[in-house]
Amino acid sequence: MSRRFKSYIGNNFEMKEKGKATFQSYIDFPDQEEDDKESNADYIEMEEVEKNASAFFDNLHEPRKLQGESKVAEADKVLMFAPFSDRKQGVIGHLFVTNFKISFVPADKSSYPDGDNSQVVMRSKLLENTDIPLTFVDTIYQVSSGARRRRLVPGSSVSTTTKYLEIYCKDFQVHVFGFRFAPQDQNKQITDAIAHFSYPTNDSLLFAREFGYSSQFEDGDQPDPQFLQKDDWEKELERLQCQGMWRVADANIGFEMSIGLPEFFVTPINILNADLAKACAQFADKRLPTWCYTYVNGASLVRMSHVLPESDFKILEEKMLNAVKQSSGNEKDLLICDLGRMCPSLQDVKSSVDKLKAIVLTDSAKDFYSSDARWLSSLEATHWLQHVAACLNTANHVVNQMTRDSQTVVLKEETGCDLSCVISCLAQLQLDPEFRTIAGFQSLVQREWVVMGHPFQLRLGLIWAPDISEAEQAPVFLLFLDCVWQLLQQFPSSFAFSETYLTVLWDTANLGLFDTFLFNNCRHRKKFLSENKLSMVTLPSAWDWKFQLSDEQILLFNNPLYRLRTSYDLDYVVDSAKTALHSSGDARRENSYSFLLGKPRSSTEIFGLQEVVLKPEVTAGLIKFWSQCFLRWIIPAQIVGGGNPSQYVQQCILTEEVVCLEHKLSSLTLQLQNQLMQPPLQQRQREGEDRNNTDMTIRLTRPSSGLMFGATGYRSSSMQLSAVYITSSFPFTLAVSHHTQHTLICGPLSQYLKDTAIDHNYMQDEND
Amino acid sequence: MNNRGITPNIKPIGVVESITISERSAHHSSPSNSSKESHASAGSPSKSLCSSASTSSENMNPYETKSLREAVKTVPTSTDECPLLDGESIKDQEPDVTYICPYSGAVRGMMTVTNYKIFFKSVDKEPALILDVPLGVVSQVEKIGGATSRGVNAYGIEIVCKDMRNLRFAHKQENHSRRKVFDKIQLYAFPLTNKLPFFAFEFKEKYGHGEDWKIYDPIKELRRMGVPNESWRISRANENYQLCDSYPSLIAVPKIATDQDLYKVAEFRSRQRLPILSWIHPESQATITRSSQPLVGMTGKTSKDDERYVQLIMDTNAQSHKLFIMDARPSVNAVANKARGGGFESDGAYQIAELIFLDIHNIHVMRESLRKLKDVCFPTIEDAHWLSNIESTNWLNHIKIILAGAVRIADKVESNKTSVLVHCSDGWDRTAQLTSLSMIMLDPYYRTVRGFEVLIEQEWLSFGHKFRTRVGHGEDKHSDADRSPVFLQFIDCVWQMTQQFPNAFEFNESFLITILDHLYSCLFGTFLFNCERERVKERVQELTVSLWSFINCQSDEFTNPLYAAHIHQHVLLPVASVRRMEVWTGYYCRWNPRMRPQEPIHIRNRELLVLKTQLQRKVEELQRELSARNARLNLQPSPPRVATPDMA
Repeated sequence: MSRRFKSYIGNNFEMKEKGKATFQSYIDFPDQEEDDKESNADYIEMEEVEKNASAFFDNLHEPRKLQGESKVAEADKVLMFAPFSDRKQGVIGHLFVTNFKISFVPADKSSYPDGDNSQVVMRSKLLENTDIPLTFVDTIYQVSSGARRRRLVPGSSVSTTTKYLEIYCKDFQVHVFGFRFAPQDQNKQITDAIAHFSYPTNDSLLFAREFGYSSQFEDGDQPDPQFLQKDDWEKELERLQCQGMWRVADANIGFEMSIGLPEFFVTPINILNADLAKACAQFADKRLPTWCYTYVNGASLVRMSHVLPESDFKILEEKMLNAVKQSSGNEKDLLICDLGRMCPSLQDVKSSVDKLKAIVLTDSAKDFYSSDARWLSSLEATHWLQHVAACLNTANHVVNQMTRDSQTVVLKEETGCDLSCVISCLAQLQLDPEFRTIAGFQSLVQREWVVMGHPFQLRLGLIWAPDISEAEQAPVFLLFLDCVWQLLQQFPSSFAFSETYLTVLWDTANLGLFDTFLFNNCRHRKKFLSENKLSMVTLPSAWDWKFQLSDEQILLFNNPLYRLRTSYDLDYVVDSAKTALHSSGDARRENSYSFLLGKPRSSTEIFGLQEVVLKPEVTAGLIKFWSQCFLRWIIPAQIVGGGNPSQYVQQCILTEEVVCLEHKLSSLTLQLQNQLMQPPLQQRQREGEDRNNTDMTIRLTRPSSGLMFGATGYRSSSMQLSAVYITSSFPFTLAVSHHTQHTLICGPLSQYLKDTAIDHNYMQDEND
Repeated sequence: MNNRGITPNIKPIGVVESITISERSAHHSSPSNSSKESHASAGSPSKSLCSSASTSSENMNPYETKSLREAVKTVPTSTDECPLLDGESIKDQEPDVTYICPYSGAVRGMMTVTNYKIFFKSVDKEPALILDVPLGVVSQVEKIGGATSRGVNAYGIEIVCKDMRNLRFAHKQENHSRRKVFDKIQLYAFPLTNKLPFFAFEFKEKYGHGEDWKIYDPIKELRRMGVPNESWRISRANENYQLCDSYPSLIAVPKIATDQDLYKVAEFRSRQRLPILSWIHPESQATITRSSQPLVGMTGKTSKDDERYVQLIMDTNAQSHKLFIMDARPSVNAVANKARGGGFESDGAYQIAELIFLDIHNIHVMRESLRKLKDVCFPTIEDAHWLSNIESTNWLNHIKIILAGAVRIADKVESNKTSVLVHCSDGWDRTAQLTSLSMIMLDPYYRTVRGFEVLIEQEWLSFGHKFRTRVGHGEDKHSDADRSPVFLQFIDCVWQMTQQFPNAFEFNESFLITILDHLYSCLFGTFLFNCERERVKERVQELTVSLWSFINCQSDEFTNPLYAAHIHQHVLLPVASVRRMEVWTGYYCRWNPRMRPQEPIHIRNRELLVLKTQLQRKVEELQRELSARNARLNLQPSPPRVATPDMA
């Protein structure tokens, strides 16, 4: 049931609830409307309600509200159906609509995880298990009596009585509510409210405004670099040692030149502000060639929009490109990549995602199984994977030209702010390991997407207006995240983040609460934040993960393979590991045994073989379906006790064991050295206490792995871990069909830690 | 990129010295041994240097590293161009043959045919391309082009292989080499047709302690499951295979059933394959039993003896008053079988039983499906229609239905505590798939290397899956209607489970591929012949080597680094949905260099494990040293805690 991100670490009630009775007030609910059955259902239902009524009304749970959040509608005795239960099981409760979310509060408090440990039950710090942010709502279907099902389009009004509401969300989840028992007057009211508030027609109606007025976020909360100031750009040019060729232009201060571009951007050093002002008019959205990246060989990556068709000043485009060429440090011709020909169009992306939703999103086990035999061809017909492959292929091409031929590449796109962002970021991820760290990746997204003006508000469909065309609502960012996921699949130890990070990032973008993903461009942002001169709107940055997630949850972003490869100096065991591999007949693998354990080594050594530039394969057989993101709520597809998360957990354990053992080894070595230098016996006895203190210091220095079982992250007792079960949907949901007995199929997480070299007592000492 | 060309430290002497392992991705070192192909520069030129792009993968493998080194010692140096096994001899060698590689084009080289393999080594390529194909995988050899053929490389032979590839060699007409090569391949690839012994009978390598024919001991296995007990006994009624010639000599049957009863029941079951015990639940005593179809026929015959016997099976399980009969077939097929004297248990006669059809298609449908799959996977894939092409083969759908059937059996046994009798028509194809898969789901023992070997020995080899007929060992009958990839399908199902449960299996992908390679290679005696009776007659255990000897003496190669035994003392229920299944490209597309991941994750996992093991050893060493020193210095009784952490 739980939606979105949720840490099950330190969540000790959770599995008890999931395992047997999340839906404690399960009622057997007949599909047919035969009268006798109906009354029977009513009977059971009423009994249930009466039983809970007093407790419920004594202490009516209002949903927890954020600042600026207010209730707009509510309905009593609403059924929230258990997913994939054919509307036969559900829990009864109160449904609220606020200006931020649709919130269901179960009547039966025992199934409502609240009270003393409400901190623990939060999936994120912002949402409860049963909350649906309005910005997640994609489509709404109303089923009225007589089983008439129709889509509630924005602006339409509801005349019939709602029996069920099916809410399809952008996080690929379906929610179904039943209103059979809800009071008639509330029925229409709440349906209208959901339909109305899910589709704000302009951004002043977004909850973010209310939220931003009522909250104060310091600029200091914004992580560096933001690329809103000149400094950040200059530092990046400096890092890449190309200040001599490129300069930060301030021609757009006050957005006088271009609405889409940021106030500061980078252009060839030979182009003056006056030239920019003259040239920009020729480019769509005034997106003249701007710098993205410079590779070590001087080859650069540049992006721009198409020259306007009515423009006959082709010469200005040429002039600009000549300047780019001069800045590229060699005499080679520029490679102009027309992304319109090499990548999917906005229309393609939009229709592909729509088709993908059509095959992924379902709330019916019957539909799930009946469509299963045609799954592969349906998936192919969405063209999603082909689009992903096309983007990776284009990025490969760009990377090849830049590295092999030292050629500067210009990405040319009609809008200059969609597929350019995808390709530019992919190329930089492939070229530069810096961007494969979490901070680096975030700075990349911040620079190429947020600051360079990818219209998130439009593309994510945060607002709805009749004049917005379908294609404008293409979720290009999801296409990008999928491409990154493919890279992560193909190079599993090259990225600091896990697939969970990418999935959470997609949800975060859709939340519509963050400064980062709320606007269409920098000017839009500035305008939104300062429209009311009296009170500034301030919003949190998406990169401030602690704002919405707990420390334990954030640990799940880290990739254990990367951690081990980069963070630990394990050189001295690597040699013996190598020997061990040799003697086990593994010698032939040595060239792929290129783990960079510890410091990067010189390229002549075997562990230095890690490729710096990543070149993914794009053949159809290796482009995979991102099941974590797309299938996490689809219960019939859920692997209980398995899936990628079980691999992830096991890697975390192994890595943690390595860290533990490594630390133990150094403690022992130190101890041995101490002993060798130890004074005679009597003296030692006198100084016994001191010696113990030394041991203590050794113990305290155990390094943090940054992983879920790490010394710093591990706060839960084993009892809590024994309530956590791994499924393929971890950590997003543990919901399983009610008849599945967890304990039969898999053991809780605590069992994973049995017989490992992770020393629990050892850790508790540290926590003391 | 530039330092990929590291010469391997271990290599078979005189074998591949000119080959660097540079392009070998570890992924493909796993695909075991028997069939290998190596290219210096296959695939896109940009790739060939940097990773797994080429196919030069399988030239060093577990098998070679262990066996060839020794084998080579006994071989005269003159043959150093072609490594030979003990018992292997060169039958023909042609210096000027061209291999038409589907990925890197035509390659000139020396071709050797032995009584075990075809060996090809390129001459003008650096590093050399090596092809090493056991003759056992050859399904068909054909001459292409005649005396009048024009065009480059139009005259030669084409070899259709059982391991998802075809090989083409071009010969020069003037060399007259084609005829010799063709004849030798034709002779040694089909020993049965030519009344020759399988190479396994000439292969003399010894591995480990040579005890591995003993790995499966039916008495020991039954004892592991608590049999004999108050309800089950071990019967020797089939000691000389007189009760049922495709069953093993020892079978477990309900205790109350006498040997006379067994004969009567066998009469009513197709090929006398009466219901016998496969697995028994340690707690509920619910069982999985297997048999062939009852001989109901058009007239709807019944057998009181059979009915009573089925009742006895149900009675052994006190937990339930019901028994499920899972008929693997689609119900139409089951009905159609009546016309041939077979059929299914009628409702009236077996009142305690509920009959369920599992809709798994017959061997002919599966053979056709695999044929289509080969077309889709080899030599290259069509990127634009990969998924729909896969779907059109129906292969994954068949796999899914088999898995779903096994899940159903496992669920009945585990959740309902009800016994299940599984059969299809003859009870040696689909039945074996279903019983063995549900046993893997129910019993963690079968998820270990040892347990899986036992499972194959029991449910497949000993209970009479007709390996010789289904694989077509040594026979020149490419289009034989009795051939079918039943066992391959089973292994694919297991692979799907290992993908869904990455830490539940002790063995890895390489283990599964190695088993499949030697299913065809005829190097080991394990998969030869159709049943125990034939194997005893041919003295397989005395005269050949067991595949398990080869595997068990290098178990490191085949273990899954993520295996977490302690968490999986549980039932595994895989998701039988195409959404959670994948084409096993590591097997079906392994010849294609473009289909290999550059940084296979299982290699990373393995590295993690090796690191951990090394550290663990070092810590233990230090601890020993420290405590020895402490003892010597006669220190206080308890050393500081850090010195003696609990190293589980």
